[in-house]
Amino acid sequence: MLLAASEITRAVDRAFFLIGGVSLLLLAGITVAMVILAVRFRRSRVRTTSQVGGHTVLEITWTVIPTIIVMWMFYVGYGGFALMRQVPKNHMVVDVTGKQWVWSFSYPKERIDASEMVVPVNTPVLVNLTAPPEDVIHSFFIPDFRVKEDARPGQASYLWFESERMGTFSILCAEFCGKDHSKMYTWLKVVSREEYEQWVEKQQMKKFRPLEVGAMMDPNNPGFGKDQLNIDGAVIFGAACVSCHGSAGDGSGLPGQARNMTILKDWKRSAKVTDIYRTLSEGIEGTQMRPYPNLTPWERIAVAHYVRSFSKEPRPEDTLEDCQAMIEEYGLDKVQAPKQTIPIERAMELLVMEAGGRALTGEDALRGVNP
Amino acid sequence: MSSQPAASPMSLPNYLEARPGILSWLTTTDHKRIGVLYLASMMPFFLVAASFAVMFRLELFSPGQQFLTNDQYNRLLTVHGVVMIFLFIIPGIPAVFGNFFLPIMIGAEDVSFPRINLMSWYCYVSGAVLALISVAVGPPDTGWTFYVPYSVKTHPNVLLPMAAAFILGWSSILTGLNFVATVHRLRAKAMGWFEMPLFVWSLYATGWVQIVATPVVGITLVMVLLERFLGIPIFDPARGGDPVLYQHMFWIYSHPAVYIMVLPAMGVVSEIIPTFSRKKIFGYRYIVFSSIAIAAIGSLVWGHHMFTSGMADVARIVFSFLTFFVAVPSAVKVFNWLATMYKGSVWLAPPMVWALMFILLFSIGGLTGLINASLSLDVHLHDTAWVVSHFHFTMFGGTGVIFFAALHYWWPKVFGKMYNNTIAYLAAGIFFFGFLATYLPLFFAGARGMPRRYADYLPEYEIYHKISTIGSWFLFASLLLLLGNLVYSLFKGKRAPISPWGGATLEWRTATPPPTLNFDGEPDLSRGAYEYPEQVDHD
Ligand code: HEC
Ligand code: HEM
Ligand SMILES: [Cu+2]
Repeated sequence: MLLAASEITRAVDRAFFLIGGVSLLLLAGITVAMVILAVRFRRSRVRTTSQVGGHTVLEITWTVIPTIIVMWMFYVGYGGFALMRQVPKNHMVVDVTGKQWVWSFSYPKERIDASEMVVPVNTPVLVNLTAPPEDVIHSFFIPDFRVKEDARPGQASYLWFESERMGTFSILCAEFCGKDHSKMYTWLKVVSREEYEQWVEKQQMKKFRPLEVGAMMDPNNPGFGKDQLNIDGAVIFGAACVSCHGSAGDGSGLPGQARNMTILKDWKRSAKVTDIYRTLSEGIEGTQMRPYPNLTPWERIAVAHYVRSFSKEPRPEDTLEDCQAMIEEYGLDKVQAPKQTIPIERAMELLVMEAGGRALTGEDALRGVNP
Repeated sequence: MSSQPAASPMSLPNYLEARPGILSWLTTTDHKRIGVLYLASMMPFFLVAASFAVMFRLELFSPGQQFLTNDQYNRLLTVHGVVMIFLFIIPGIPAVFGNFFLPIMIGAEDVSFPRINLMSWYCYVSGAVLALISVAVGPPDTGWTFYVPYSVKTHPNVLLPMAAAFILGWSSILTGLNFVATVHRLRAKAMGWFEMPLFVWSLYATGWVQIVATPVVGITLVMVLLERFLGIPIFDPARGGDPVLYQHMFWIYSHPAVYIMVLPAMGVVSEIIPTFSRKKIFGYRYIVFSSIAIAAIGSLVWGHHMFTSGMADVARIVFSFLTFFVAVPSAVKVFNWLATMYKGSVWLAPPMVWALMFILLFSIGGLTGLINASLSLDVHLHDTAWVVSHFHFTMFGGTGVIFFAALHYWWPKVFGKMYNNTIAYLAAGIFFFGFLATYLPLFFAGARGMPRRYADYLPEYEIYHKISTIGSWFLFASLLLLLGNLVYSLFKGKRAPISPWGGATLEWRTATPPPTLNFDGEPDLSRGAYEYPEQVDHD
């Protein structure tokens, strides 16, 4: 408190000291009057009273003056509020979701999700708030910027702030939300514009280069791409591969020719993610398995995970070296996230959601049926 | 009876001794006994809820977990709030002192519906027992506001405390109904509306709020139960309901409820100050109208609890605007009380000390309320320790303090015993110190952003919590001392005279303790409720 970190902060603090100051004066007046009256008219001193029962002019005075004072207070308080509700035009957007008991952040324009909130200094930030429909109410509160608004399940609300100072500020949950309500806090980092851009880039790299982290390629998690990359491998497989490999991956689409992926022993390359990546990038010469340059690297990775899930046999694991070799060979560390574009299936999902339906996945999405 | 010469005041048996035996108490329809029953059943709950607060304050002594898990903290906090609100501060003054003194003050023999009055006490007890059972089987952890969707999702049992609140609402409605009817129908013929003591006026205004507003909370709680147990979607957003609707319905009752809490307290102040200043109350009619204004405007401001909950911006602005107007009649009252002392003869006996303490603490509560009502400030302060402090200043420093003032004021009349003055002063002093030490730091913590209902906190708030926790020990000790002193007087206290303070209202002109039908003969209405001689005739 008391660090003027933004225009809103200053407006609120000014109102606080004005209204608080007048209130303190009134309190002092009441207290002093009370003490003086109690002492001046104490029984040991005064035995003769004067039984006045009222005074109309006085009554009107002390009705009208407080009325004026409180109207002025309303006006002062209203001023800062108007500021809080008018988002400047040149703002950036962060979507914030409150779940029992974590805040998560996503930057729709930058296409990143993060567990911490990082924003550039001197930039108005519009915070769109919500909570998952099956969750409870939370309240997004940044004391240093004097802003707070409830994040309600399945409903939208917003607030905005702009920091003039760099630094770390606490974000707290202010609406009681259950057991770990008091642990539902995180940090807001306000950094320079350059640092912010670096951070965004790093987040995007993290998102689009999961191979860096060998451990993330969990063979038991066919949904890998969906969760980590926001890409559903099943959708791509449904679109590009079922015609030959069959929807169960058993090669039934082009019997006898396409690889039956439920069995691993006949493979030319192995069922490591890195090897499937190679197959998708280079194809298998002399067969109908052609390369898929139209798939982005991360789409290839997602579908590779999905392919691995067909077999119940123990699958060969990628080592960190495998990953690094592949990153180097295909220059994956230099791949930039495509700015302003999203995968088709994600776009379809969003369209369907906007149209009020449930997001479609897998084959449903391809057929376009809304269950 | 009235044709016979007035018997000496002690000739009829007093209401305490009139019919002996526990059963006669449990089936009594005497408004005075019902008041005493309320008092006896209320105090244990108050002490338990206060000791819960001391416990969870202890947990907050240092950051990190000390001896309560988050879950235990939330439950203690909820039980503390629920008991304090529904079992102590809402029924408190009307059910105990209103029941006991309203009929006497207007020269009636009892309330209009004595049996319904007894029933209201049974509702109170059933509600209290349900609350106890809920504590035994697993206390709720929702906070006293039971906000959905949390309250329809959380595992602990919310059925019981909600049913308890529902039944307690009945108790409150029945009491209010009785008071309104009694004032209309049983007021002594010679007593005009503007000759009634102000305590009666305040109970009358409160009665209407109780009748009009309380059903809303009942309906709301039933809706929550329907949703939770029959799956009818009303508030739950996962099934298409609207959680903000719940908040509206909750506060449509619960904001007026804060006036149910505070209006009777203001009425008591309007009795105590004239008595101890030996002066006619200043601005009688203005105090009456301010009570009515508070009751009326107070019904239109509930949205100030929801400035950050997603209401339309226009609604926020309107609610803020209206809220400020409630402050005016409250201020008018304070000015009139102070003016009453002017040119009076002030005796700082314990009840008066409590009443003056009320003026101070309640003013702090009210003025910080103005800060809360300011839109941009409330956005920051809402749901922080600031609000916790604010409402303790108004409810505890306001109504709670006046509950103690009323205890000290009327104790001699109710039980016929005088308590020890020195200890009473000492308790009041420790209370005052403990109170400020407990709650003032919370203003600072809250202004710096410390949220409320936090079982733990960031280290930067430690100093405030340390002071507050230490303060709570003094506070609690003073409560034990205060109540201990009163209880002790029952056994060892001196006999109380008819009018220990020289008050002018009717209860000071009947026997101590009063006989079953309140008056020995016709009540003497020759003297007005605030009529005092110019020369002080009382020490
Ligand atoms: C036009 C038919 C066709 C399509 C479409 C097709 N494949 Fe194949 N795929 C084949 C054939 C045929 C083989 C077996 C090649 C061989 O005999 O070595 C094969 C083999 C494979 C193998 C095994 C490589 C190895 O190491 O043996 C993988 C993995 C694979 N395909 C993945 C895919 C994926 C992923 C897609 C979709 C993006 C896909 N295929 C689409 C026909 C197809
Ligand atoms: C020993 C005396 C008391 C102490 C030390 C005390 C302390 C506290 C504290 C520290 C909190 C806030 C805790 C938090 O937000 O985490 C609280 C909450 C509360 N107190 Fe008290 N209090 C006392 C007496 C009272 C009285 C007399 C009343 C009623 C008039 C009262 C009503 C409440 C209510 C309604 C809440 C809110 C509960 C909730 O958030 O759901 N308290 N108390
Ligand atoms: Cu309110």
